[in-house]
Amino acid sequence: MSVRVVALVLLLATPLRAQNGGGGGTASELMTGAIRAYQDLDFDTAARLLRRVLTPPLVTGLGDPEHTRALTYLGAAEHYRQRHDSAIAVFRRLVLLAPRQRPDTLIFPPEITRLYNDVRSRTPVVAVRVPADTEFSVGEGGRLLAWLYPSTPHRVTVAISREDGRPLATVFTGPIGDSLDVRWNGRDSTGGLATGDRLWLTVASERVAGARDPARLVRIPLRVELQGLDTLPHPPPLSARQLLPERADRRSGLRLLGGGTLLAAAAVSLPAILAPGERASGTRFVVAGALTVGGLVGYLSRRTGSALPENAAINRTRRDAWRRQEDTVTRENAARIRAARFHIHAGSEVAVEANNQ
Amino acid sequence: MSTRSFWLTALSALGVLTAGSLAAQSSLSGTAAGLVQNFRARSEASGVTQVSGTALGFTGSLRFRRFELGVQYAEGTLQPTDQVSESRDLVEGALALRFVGTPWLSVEMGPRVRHYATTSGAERWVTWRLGGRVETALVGTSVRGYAMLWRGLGLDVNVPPGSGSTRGGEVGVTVNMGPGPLWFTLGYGIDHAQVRDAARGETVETLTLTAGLRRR
Repeated sequence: MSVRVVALVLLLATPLRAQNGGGGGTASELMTGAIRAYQDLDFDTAARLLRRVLTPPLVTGLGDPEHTRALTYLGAAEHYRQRHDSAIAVFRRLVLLAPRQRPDTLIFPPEITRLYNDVRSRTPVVAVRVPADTEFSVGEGGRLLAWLYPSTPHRVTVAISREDGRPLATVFTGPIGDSLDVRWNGRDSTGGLATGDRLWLTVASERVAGARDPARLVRIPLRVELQGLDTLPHPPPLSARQLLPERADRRSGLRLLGGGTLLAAAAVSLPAILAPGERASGTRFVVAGALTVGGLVGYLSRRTGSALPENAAINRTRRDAWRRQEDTVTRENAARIRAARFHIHAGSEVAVEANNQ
Repeated sequence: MSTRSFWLTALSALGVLTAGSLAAQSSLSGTAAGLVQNFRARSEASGVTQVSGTALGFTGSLRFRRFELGVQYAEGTLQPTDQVSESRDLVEGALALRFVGTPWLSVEMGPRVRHYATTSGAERWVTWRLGGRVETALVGTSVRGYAMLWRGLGLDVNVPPGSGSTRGGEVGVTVNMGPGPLWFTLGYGIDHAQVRDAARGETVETLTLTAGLRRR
């Protein structure tokens, strides 16, 4: 019984191994087999094996160099299989994956490199390299630095946007040739410090004239932390209730007359209040008279709508005090902002097609 | 006014003016003024004594933010207004520390010493005063009225030795001459002191005309 089972297992195992094309089960083994088939001019087998390598789950284990190598061989194999559209599609995938990649001219003939260059020139896309972690002080003029490598010269727009897509700052707009360095100082388009934990660095490639390819976006998630920023609140603006009227109303004159009369009455009655029973002299009436006359002059000189210089002076003092407080807060906040530090963590880039453009 | 008091007045005024000029360079402000005072005193012990006269002196202040230090000095000769009293020389000095809470309200505290020189000897009244003062505009910023009430925290008299209570007040009008530094004040003041142990009382009325300079 056991001999029969072993024989059956061996019988089934042989075709399964044969189905793997004899190139091994791992991506590396399949790649080796595919390249050998390509060199033996067996392009059908090479293409079949490479498509297996470039299909999940094997493709997920590939590094970027292996991935680009597989795509280059697959594009060449499809070209020699007379599948021109497939070759172009594969090369386009290659351009999107690695815009700076060029087929090795020692391995691939000029017709392959020519086809690839043709595809690359019609597929504008940018590879973006950003340090994983950047830290700089706001006051020392530090920058987040991004290196841009295009597949072909074209126009790009580099921008910072919020997580929901709302634009925050445009960093660069213009043509890009061989490569380009762009820097972002952590501020939005109004000069304010960028707030919001999660932002995007977006590089939008414009469509090349005459090409049918859609415009593409490369997006890199940024986690922005502003450390040590604790600014003081600005003083609330002076309200109308905190300021005195600077023009007289109907009651202004009456108040002056009332004040003068009240003080005059106080002068007259002061002896009775402080020294009751004492016979006071008449000198107090001189002062009482002066106060009464003063109040009367104030009443007559204060017409409705006339300026109140004493109130204006008090208001000026209050406004000056408020301005000093505001200036102090502004200076202190500026110092605190200068001392604050940006820490920006960049994630992996994501390339998407901007279909709406 | 004696030669001594003249020079004392001049020296003090110079000091306040110097402080005023310093004030122009910092947040200090100050005033310096001369004063003429009509002085009337009525004292009641075993009998009634009434004297009056004119005193001359100076007053000044130095202000830093909300705090103000004021000083006043006056001296003169008082003549009897009845048949039984005798003439006497008067010297009076006061020092006050003020806290200006608002432009129209301030409180102050400080000592005042009143010295009478008579043929029978020197008499000295020392009063520690605590008071409040209100101000109000009458005509724009040029004419202002004020009223002040104070109460004695302590009264000390040397002849005959004793202590007691005292209270007083002053009402007046201040005229600022335009935007310049010159100002005038006319004020009426009265204070009443009661010495407990000696069953003695004194009431003093003053009418004071002050003319001075202000440095902001």
